[in-house]
Amino acid sequence: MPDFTVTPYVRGPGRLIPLSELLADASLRARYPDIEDAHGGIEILDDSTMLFVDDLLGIVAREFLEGGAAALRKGEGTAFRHRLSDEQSTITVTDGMATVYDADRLEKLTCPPEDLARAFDAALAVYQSLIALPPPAAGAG
Amino acid sequence: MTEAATKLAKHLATAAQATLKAQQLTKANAARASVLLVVPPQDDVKTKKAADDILLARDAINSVAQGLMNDLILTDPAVTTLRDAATKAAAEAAVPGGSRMAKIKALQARCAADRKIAEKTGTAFDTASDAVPDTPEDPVATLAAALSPWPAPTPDALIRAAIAASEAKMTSGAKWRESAEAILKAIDVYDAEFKARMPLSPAETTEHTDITDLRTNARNVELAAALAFQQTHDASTGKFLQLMDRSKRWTIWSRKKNTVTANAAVDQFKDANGFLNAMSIEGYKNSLGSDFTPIGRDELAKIAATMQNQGYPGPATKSANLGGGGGPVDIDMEHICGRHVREGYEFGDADSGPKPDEQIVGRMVKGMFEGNLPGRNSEQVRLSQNAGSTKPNSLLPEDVNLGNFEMIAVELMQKVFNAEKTVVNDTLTKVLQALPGQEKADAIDVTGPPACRIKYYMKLSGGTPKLIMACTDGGDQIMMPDMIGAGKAAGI
Repeated sequence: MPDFTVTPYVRGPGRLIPLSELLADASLRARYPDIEDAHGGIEILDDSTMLFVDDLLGIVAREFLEGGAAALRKGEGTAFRHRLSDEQSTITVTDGMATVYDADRLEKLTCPPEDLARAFDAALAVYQSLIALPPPAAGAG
Repeated sequence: MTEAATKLAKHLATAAQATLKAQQLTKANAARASVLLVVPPQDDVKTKKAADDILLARDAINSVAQGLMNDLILTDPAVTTLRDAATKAAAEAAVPGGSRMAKIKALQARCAADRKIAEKTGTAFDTASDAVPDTPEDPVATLAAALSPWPAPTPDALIRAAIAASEAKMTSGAKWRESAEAILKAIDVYDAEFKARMPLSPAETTEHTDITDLRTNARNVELAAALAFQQTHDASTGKFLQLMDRSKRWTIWSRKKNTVTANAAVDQFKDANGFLNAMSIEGYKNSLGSDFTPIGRDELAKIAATMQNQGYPGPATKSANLGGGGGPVDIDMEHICGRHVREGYEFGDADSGPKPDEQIVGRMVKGMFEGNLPGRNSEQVRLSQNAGSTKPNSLLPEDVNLGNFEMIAVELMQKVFNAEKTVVNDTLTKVLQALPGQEKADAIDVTGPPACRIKYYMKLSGGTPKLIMACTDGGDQIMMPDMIGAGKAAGI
């Protein structure tokens, strides 16, 4: 079991809201009628790393999580170009270990590529479960 | 300065530094104690108290840093010579009837002195960073049964000294840059004065030429050197990264060692790492080839005066129909007005930056809990998550407001459509469908009013072109710590 977590979230007023909360709460979900274009991303957390890839949720999910997992399984790194700022988050693979950096390159996490790919798969699955739900009813929330 | 006076100045400076360093430690301990009192539920009073105590500790760090700089100013011959020259040049420029050139030369002399102080503090920081030893074992690896003994003395004092030296470098670098910018501003003012009086007499023409000839040098040599100096204080490389890494490693090492053999130094490492975590985002930053450099105090004050913190009250999305058959479009008003229009920027809103106090406490929490981030309580998690995003804030020009932004956004999308449409792609939807990712990012001039150049990002969203982001192109692009500073300056 990897000793880190990858948590997808959307930005809410005053706090980050994990997608798991949206899945469980229809009224909360109704505040995000266009979840793919909502502002959010993922938090990667372990004992000493708190790393964010923060942009448009749908693009982070497709390009960083889905694209990143595919690249990692080929033993390759990848770079994610943020849409809302002139920034870039990156993953490198060196000597059989993957390192993911935030846009500041202040925070980084190093682990086996397959662990990171599996964690990305799990986070992506949460996102996909969310967008698969029917759109919130008009007036909900 | 005479030798005796220099000795006295050094003696007094050393005594004062000892007191200031003791205060740095005391205030840091007080700040950590306040941060530990931040517990659920959310309590803005407790958060403010913690932020205030952190700022008091930052003041103490700054006092030690000022002491370092004063020591240089008083006792380093290379600095005192330039300071004396700057004082003399300023006196000559202040004589009634003093020439414009004399005033420019006084600014140049001031800049040369500030440059020397900055370069000296830069060297002092490098030395202080190198003085911090690495941990005896790799603390990130699984806890070994036989860790080395606590070093004596523990190197937390060395980390605090390096933090103060870092503050001195950042402060003196900002001062050098302000001095370089002051030369350029003075030249611009004089240039405008001459232009307003055209045609000039032969003597005035000569003076005008002499002054404006200095502009290129001021921009490409003096200001460029000051910016390059600020860029050396980059937490992703060099001595700053080295200090960050060693501080983190000592924080984690001492946390683990403390479980075996208790030592009060563990808290001093947490304190120091908390402050370094805040300072890590205050220096230079480069990402994707874009440079983000802290702004000067003048700019900060100017921007703070434009922030109203009132939020965007309208619907999240607005729709419009483009002329010439461009079709329907959407505009993400909530994000763009909440993040990029000064009038609508509201600290703590989902689209803007965090509330200043929350950001200040959140950065401290992250550093203090290095090695045990899962040990934060839910409120500490919330604060450090809010402080985790350090994206720059790109503000639209001051004249763009909640009342005219929608009109500007429609003009922007219309212009993009007009420029990109073809016989086949005869709506903006079709234009975007033909592009990779069905998205487009660029910069474009709008006539407004106000006329301005806007950087934008649009994509197809639910089959309709949506303007997702619109910000200044080449205008006020402010790093998050500066934005927090602007918020504090505005009393938020």
